[in-house]
Amino acid sequence: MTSNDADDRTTRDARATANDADERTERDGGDRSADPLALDADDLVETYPAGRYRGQLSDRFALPARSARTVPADDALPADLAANLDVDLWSHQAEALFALEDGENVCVATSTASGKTYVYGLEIARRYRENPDVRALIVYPTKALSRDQERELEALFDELGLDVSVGVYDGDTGPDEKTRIRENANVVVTNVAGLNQYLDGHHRWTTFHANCSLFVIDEAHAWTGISGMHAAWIVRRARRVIDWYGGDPRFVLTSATIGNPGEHARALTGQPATVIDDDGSPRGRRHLVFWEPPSDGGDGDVAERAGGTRGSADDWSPGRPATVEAPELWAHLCYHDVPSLLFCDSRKQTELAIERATEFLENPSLPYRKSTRLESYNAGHGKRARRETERGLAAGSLDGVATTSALEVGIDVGGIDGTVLLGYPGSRHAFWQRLGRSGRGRRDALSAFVPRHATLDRYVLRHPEYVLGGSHEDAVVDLENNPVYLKHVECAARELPITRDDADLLGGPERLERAVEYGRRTGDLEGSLAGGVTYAYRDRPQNRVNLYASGGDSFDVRAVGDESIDHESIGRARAYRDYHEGATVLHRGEQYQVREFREDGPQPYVELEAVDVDYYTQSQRRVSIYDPEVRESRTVGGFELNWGYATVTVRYETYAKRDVASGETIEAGLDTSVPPLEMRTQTCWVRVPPGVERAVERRHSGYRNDECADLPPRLHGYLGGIHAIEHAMIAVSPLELTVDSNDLGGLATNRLPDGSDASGWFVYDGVEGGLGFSRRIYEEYESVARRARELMVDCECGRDEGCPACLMDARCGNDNRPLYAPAATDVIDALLDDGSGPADAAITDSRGDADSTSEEDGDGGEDVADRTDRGRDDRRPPASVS
Amino acid sequence: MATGGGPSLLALRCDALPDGSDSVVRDVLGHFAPDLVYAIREGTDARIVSRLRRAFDGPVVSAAGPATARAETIDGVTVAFADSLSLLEDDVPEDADYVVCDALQIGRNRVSLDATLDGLEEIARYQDRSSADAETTFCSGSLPANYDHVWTARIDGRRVRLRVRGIGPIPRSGAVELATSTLGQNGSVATSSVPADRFGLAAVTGVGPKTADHLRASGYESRTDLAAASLAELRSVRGVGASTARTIRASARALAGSRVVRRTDEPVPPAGRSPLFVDVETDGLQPTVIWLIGTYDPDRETYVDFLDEMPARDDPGSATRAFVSWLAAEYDEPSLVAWNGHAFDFEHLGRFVARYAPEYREFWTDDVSKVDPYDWAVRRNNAVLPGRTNRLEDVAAALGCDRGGDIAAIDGKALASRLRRFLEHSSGREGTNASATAASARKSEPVPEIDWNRARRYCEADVRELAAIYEAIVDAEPVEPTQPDRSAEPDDESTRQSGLAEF
Repeated sequence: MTSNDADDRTTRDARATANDADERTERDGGDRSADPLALDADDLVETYPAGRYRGQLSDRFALPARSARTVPADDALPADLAANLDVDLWSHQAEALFALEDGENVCVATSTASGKTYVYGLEIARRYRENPDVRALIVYPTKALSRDQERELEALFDELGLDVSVGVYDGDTGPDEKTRIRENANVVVTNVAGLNQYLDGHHRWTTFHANCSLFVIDEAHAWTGISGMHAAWIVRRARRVIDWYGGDPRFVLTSATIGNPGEHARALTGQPATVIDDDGSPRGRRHLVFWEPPSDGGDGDVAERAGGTRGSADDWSPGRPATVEAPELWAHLCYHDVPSLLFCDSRKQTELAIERATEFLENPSLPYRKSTRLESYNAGHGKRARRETERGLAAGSLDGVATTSALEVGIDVGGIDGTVLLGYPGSRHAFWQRLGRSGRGRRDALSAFVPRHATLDRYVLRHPEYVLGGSHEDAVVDLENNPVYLKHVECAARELPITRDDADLLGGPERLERAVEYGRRTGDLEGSLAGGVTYAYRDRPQNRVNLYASGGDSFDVRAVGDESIDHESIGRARAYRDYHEGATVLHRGEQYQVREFREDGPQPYVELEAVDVDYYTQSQRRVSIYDPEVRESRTVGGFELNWGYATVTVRYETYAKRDVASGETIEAGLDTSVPPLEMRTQTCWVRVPPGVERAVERRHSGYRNDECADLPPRLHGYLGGIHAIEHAMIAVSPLELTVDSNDLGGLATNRLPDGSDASGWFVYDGVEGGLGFSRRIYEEYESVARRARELMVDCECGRDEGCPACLMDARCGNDNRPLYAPAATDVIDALLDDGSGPADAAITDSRGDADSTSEEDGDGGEDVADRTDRGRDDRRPPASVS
Repeated sequence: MATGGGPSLLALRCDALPDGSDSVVRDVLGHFAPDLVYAIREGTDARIVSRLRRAFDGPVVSAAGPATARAETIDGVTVAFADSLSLLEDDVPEDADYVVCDALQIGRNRVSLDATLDGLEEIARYQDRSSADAETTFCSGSLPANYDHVWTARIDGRRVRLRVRGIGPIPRSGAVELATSTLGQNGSVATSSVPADRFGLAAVTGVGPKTADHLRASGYESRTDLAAASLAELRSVRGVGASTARTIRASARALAGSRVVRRTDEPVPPAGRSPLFVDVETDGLQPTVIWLIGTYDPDRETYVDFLDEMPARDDPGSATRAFVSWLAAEYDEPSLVAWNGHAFDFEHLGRFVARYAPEYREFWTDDVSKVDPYDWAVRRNNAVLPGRTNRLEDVAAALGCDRGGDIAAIDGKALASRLRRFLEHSSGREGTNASATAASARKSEPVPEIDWNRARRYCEADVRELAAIYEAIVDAEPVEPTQPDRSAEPDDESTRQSGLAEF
């Protein structure tokens, strides 16, 4: 979903089922008209087995076909190149080539399969024509993508009749091949982790760097969060080295649609880029259905499994699990000649999906008779089996494949017409990427989203405009994190001596000076910026750069015994949280269990063993925060909002085992044995004005949660409110930012540790030094708060204390107690009160009430007295919930 | 042993030794031949300390146990040891040349970019009490032996300069390196280090801790035993295959006999051509300046060098230019030979030629062949060298080269850091605005001086040693490779590969 015109034209399906024949006759359309899409949304409902349809189709949309906008190739390319290219260019490709011709950097942010590779492929061709010694560097997020792209580029250069040589340079490249590529290849394809290493040997790349005129960062949206900040520094180090040898490359970034492509390009490269996002590629019509599992169970036995074990179920139950419903819907599509992919989270789910689908199709009471060929696809299957499935897909001999994210990008899936999403994949980009696997070119497609009972899934179900609308998550690259910055300063100092001239690329003069002084004092750096700062040791600091961790030690991830596992090392925060002994780990769809957790040796590590269990684990955290340091402040609706640093201590003391299919707790309170984790990190926090606090506290003082005996009863309502806001804001933040909400944490307290004695709540970045997420939440506070409010108000659970899909957080160290939505919405309303809306009347009234009565004077008097009287602690004990 | 340059102090981390056996302890002492032994606080082990006391006939100081202070004076240099910072107040004699205290360590706050020194105030007060001309160097076993930083503190408004040196083990991937520091009279410290796992049987290539256990269990106590063993005997030891047996025997013979042992019949490069030995002096591991290039031509029996006596950051390539134009004029297709040249000398010369003498870039790339005997012997597994490490000076010493005189007391690193201070001082004198504060801070520091002739003698000694090692390699008997075995055993290949890993 990219262009605005599509947004305008996307309609809730008004039964407009006739094929848009006019559009289909264009360009490559029409060739399949003899074999149209077998089912649309109406047919789906009509064909679904009578006893099994209970109104699951909760929403339906028709995304119209879009015709291609093209530019003749010889408008944008020299005639001889254009002559060899047998297609015209899509308008965005031409636009990018024009910008590059003008010497600009470009960031191409268009839809899946919109020919982004062509942009840099053709630019390389154009430069090669001018100078056959031209060199280009292309970095992909992973090794796996490199080989695919190498083939694609080679095919393009063949077509153009150019002898441009392409080489993949990574850990799998042999030494002789490496030498050949360094010395001769025009195009070097590598990945960011590799680049971090290869920069150290830059003297071997003399000619390459001197002639490097294009630097391509593919899938640039992937660089966000921890790995994003590493990537940004690695790119700056590369620029510095290339510059040393006289190269001056332009940048081409390609990205899925994100909210801030220009800003993101600048953050990653340090240079401005022209954003190309007006997509000229064509697409077929897409029927999109939201398929909500029925709440009454459906067939008896599964419903019992899902709902029957709920110990604490009161008046409300979450209904049939998506893990059952989605495979059945998928089986139905496949049976009805809509070859489809089912996207699952894990290998186990793909296997279970095959079982469920087969069971469904073989159920004699259902009207399925002919055989349907279904396969699962995941990393656990081994290369040969996967190739076979891929061939089956391409040849059309398979009806359906249940897959992990392994089929999300790259591999050709042939003539797939349907996609079913078992759950929301966490970001709009992944949502559309997965859906986009069906309906190649102009072909029509049918896609279904089957929501799980989880926060984001429910939010998207209730707010389809979120995925259909024109805005997108922002990618966040934080250059502020000092532990990460220091590591890259060390690497840069080893690569080439750092002088004042490097300050622009390396954090600015003041910060660089501080980092150098720090390094001189610790003994890691030598020299001065006047003459050149160098790294003091003989080892390679590049080896200590871990794209997935910020400061401190990282943990190696090993396999038990002689087994091997291809798992990047992990940061300390993540190790403590998810890799304690006994934890289950899902890695590339495979299940593992942590057998050993060691950090007393020189290299901390965890040891994993492959397992096959029906549960997953989740640790609970308890948080304390002290020593906050305000860097920026602003006022929102009378609330003081701060951003800055604080010291956060996280205790992951216990964990729970939950059922893979239903999410039910099997066992809780298990011991993780990991020590507390202390970090200095970025955080944003809000101070609730005393008037609002008093008003909300009074209004909800009647609420009691019997399990919160350690909290003053009068406070259950208010604390439950701010606790709920903290949970909800973290839960919805992935809707605004490309963030894994596991990398955020929070704390609500009736006494902030900033000496103010006010109440409020924190949202912090869960790694040493911070990630920039809390900073972005600080900037976008109002819209995050608004979404949090929508989440709690719209949730169909209708419970004041919420459910796992709205207020509850499985990691909550206070066992999700107290949580109280009515108080939460009152506080948010006060926060969002811009003084104009009638919706704010209620809280304004109660605040006015508090402000105007004599009680306020009395309170004020107490406040003054309290400052000298520690006796207040009895009346107002500190109470924090995280 | 003290050679007039001050006492040598071995700082030992007990738990870094592969095993604490008497033979390893004796091997360590025999190799370093220190005047003083200091068991640092971290990883201390009372049994090893007592073994040290029995095996060593000089002072053994242990940082563990009750907090005490003591002082030793050797060669006129006083070294005081304090187990805690509070002892600096009364118990440590004033005006000691060196004070060793492991409580001196760095506090790091990476988020705020603050680095502090624990004990800064205590050592500042100690220094402040000293007589005006006495400058103490403060050493810590908690800091690695290559740590060298001048801290400053204020005592009653007076600025106090504090020289802080590490003497502890140097971290590196794998085992730490144990270091001996020679504590000079003027505060200059020279260090020499060896990986802690290169002692006892483990000094032999191919012998890790497990294999060492198995060898001992089979009755091999010393490297001499291993050198005398037959391949069949070695193969009968658990965990030792045919290839490892050959590696072990070759390495043991090289070490025990102080000679080069060839492992293949590969001709020594540059086959059939005359070598020209070369060595460069820079300002550090990632040089900004190449200020001295020395060459030795064994055919002509001449040493020629290119010295930049006025090295400056704005023209760091003048020695390189002089050298490469001379080279092009004198030799058609020269074969340069440098120790570890592929990882250092050739790499940086190539970079400097490309940048500062671009007219010779093609000549350098196409006509100059580069030979790295270290790479050929060690990484490519063609020969085993004697010496505890494969550093040039270690190998040369093991082969019996003796570089006496005043150049014995300097090393490349000390020379590099002296030159760096020289460069900083001269750029500070030029006084750009940005460095004004740094320059004023430096005013009080002594003007570094470089004895250019001594540096040249040092460089000449280096290239001549290199020539000697090269000769020893050429003179060693080539070994007919046992082809079938070699290809059957992946061991050699994997060792070679890991050494070659390049990026």
